[in-house]
Amino acid sequence: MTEKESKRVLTVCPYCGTGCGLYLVVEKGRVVGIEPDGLHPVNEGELCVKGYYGYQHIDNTERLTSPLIKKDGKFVAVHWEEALDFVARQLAKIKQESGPDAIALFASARATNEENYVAQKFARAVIGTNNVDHCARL
Amino acid sequence: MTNSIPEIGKNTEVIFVIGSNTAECHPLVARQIIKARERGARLIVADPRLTEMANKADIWLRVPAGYNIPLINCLLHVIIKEGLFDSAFIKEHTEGFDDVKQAVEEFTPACVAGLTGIPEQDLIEAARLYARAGAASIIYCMGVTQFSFGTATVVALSNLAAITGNLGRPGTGVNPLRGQNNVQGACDMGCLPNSLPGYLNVTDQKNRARFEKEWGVKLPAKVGIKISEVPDAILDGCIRALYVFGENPVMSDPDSNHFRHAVEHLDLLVVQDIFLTETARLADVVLPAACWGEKDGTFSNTERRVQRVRKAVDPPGEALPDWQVFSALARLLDYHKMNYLHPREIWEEVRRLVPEKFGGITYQRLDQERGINWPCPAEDHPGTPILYQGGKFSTPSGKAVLRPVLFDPVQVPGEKAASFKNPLTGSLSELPDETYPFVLTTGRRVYHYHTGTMTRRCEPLDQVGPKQLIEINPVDAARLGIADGDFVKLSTRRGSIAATAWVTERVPEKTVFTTFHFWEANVNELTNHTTDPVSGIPEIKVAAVQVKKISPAEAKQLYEEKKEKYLVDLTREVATKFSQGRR
Amino acid sequence: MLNSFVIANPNRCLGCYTCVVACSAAHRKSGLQAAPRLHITYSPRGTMPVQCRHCEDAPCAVVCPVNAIEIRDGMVLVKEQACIGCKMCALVCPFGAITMNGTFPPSIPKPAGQVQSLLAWLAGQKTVAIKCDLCCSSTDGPQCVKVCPTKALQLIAGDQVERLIKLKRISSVAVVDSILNEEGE
Repeated sequence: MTEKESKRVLTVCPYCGTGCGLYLVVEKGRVVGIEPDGLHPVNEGELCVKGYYGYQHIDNTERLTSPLIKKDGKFVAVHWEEALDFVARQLAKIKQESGPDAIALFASARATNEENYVAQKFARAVIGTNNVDHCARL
Repeated sequence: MTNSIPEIGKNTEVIFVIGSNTAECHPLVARQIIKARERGARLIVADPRLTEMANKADIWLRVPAGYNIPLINCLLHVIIKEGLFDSAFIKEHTEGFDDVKQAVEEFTPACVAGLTGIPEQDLIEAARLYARAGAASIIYCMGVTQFSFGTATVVALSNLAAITGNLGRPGTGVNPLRGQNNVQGACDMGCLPNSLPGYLNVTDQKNRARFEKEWGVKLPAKVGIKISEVPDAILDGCIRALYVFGENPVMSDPDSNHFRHAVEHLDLLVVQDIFLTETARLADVVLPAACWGEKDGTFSNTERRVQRVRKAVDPPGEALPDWQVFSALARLLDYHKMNYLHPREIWEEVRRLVPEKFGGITYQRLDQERGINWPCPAEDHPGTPILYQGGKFSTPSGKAVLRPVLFDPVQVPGEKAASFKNPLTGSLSELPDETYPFVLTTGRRVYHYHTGTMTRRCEPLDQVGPKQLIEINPVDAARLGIADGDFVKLSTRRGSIAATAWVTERVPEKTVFTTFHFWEANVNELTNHTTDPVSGIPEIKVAAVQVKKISPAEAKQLYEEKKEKYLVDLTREVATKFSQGRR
Repeated sequence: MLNSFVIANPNRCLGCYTCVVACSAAHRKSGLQAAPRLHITYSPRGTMPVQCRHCEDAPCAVVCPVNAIEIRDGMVLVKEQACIGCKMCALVCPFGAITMNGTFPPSIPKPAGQVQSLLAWLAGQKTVAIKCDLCCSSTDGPQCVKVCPTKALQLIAGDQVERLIKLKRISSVAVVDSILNEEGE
């Protein structure tokens, strides 16, 4: 995407389960506003307060931008290779010592279908446990 | 939902909202209800709080928190007694009516009025209104489910819809409103301990075989443990590693102190998120995720509408979409059937594996349509906004199964339950007493969302809702010497929080309400982790609580304690160090 | 012509705060105080945002000691630069439509202890009277009306008021007629 480009991207609101259609207004690679989707059968061109104004977290300076590993009680930024290697080795070790059911995965009702599918596949096919659940109950 | 959202505005004649603060939690569904009312539809609302929906209702049933079952059983009682049920539908499409009839026998309007304080006449009128409607829709939310008898309550509601034939037609149905953008999708995709994608039971060899073939591995047959059972499983030493993504259980799970205590016993906690959440602070490893607007994929809304979400901007720094992280980890763990290049490939795999539900939903179609409601088995299939059309149900007999639901605030006597075949029972796990005389109920406010991770970082939203408020009835407030704006401390058997009092008639006497948006006063430190035996949902909506006025100095001290506890003081350092180079 | 004003229909209002935040965002964008100028108000009789009615003989303008409130272009306006924050206007307003506020610059963390909005202040921050200005600095009218998802908010223009009053007169004829008839029976 070029920096100068200004565009509208059709997507779906990330908050409640109503699933309203909206456009992200993008300028210079940043989301700068939201417009309702007039053709959407559920929200019919309207949005609520979170739909209109709940996008600034995307650009928030507190976003995590690098993997962190806690060393001596402090988080230290590391590269993906190191973080993933650490996680993979720990998971393999625990699986070997205590079996796959000693590992549990909380999936996310906030993530996409594809990501949730991959997550449960990871739990079931890679780890070998059905200990996968998410916050539908909360 | 059994039906779709636009039907409410177009077709429904009577809307029965129970346990849902629709105006605040699903405003664009509430808009459909307003639309319906303006074309003459009638509105019944059952809620302990005077929500905006209750305020607009033709009949508002002020049911005390925890007494949904007697209320619904009373409606069933009146409908059966007055012969307002749909006998043809019952005969052809349901089984178990006689048991239900017998179970609701004792729930007379007089009896339920005594138990709940709802005027008898309102109960009778509500039952008549609902039963006589050509198309009546039940809309419910966590105010129905988050009890140790949530499943039983939902069954009672489905009994109500079934005996009046309000299923399988436009504008009818039993319609749960999902609280999060993709709860529906996460369930559909098999993020449940007992089911594979498409709700295929994991204990069935045939189902596992379907996935084993595609995934190239042998799959575990034992049902996994539910989220609400995880803390105890950790403390028992059964769970040693927990991997959490896109979720903040320290804030959102009941009895937060218990959860926190359990997490400390883990050998490995991995949190993958977009911010250093309250949970991430406790992790051994934190992985940065791409957020909404930074990745492609699909969400499924509460009406089973699968919709395309699109990437608009790049993720900051090294943040990656969750699916890429799992793929990379799988490779490291020597599994090579998770190498995807685009979410589209993942979705194609879902379509291949669960064609009966998702086979006809392609990215190409989603680019042209505003979502497709599953089941959609073929590419020329229009999708299924209305389930159970023609009274065909997905049970072995093809009929709706009615089950008797019994209730007693303390405990349903064993011999009574034994006199029914397959009953469900409900009783409250914690009733108010001398030490904890109030009922605490919880929920959300419109301008914030869940644990506030996103909305509290959106300045326009945080500006209108910068702090936690505790709703308390004016009568109670006067009795306790609390004025609007005073600091109040809430304590249960599990913890204490302090926040500002909002003296308002929105809550009934002897009940207080607050939210879980603020770490400064997280209500989930107070809530109960007793769970529903079937679904594992915790009893978040009702707990016995003590209410006390405190001084600003005491409030400040509690605030400092919470700050110490939740912020673990790592943020500033990490955040400033790594926000450099952001676009 | 009479002054225009925005008013909400409580039968439609969801209390969803979209108008409140739109108000704040619009004024921030115009370089004015970002505190919202309409206030969601809950009562057992209904919920709706309350804002300025732009009174013809506005008491706020009358009491203002520094003439910071003026009536022009069919509305009642506060000159934020001139306001001294004396609070007299907020007290005389019969609708509670004026609040005293100043904006928290987003860079400064909010004070930990919760503060009353009437006294919310920070060193160096100007606290002034905040009220609806019908978004006169934006080109497409009041933003609250534009974003309301249920169209509960309406801009009532001055001439529309006169039409509505005429309609009221017609219906009052019928009422008087029926009362007199009852009297005669």
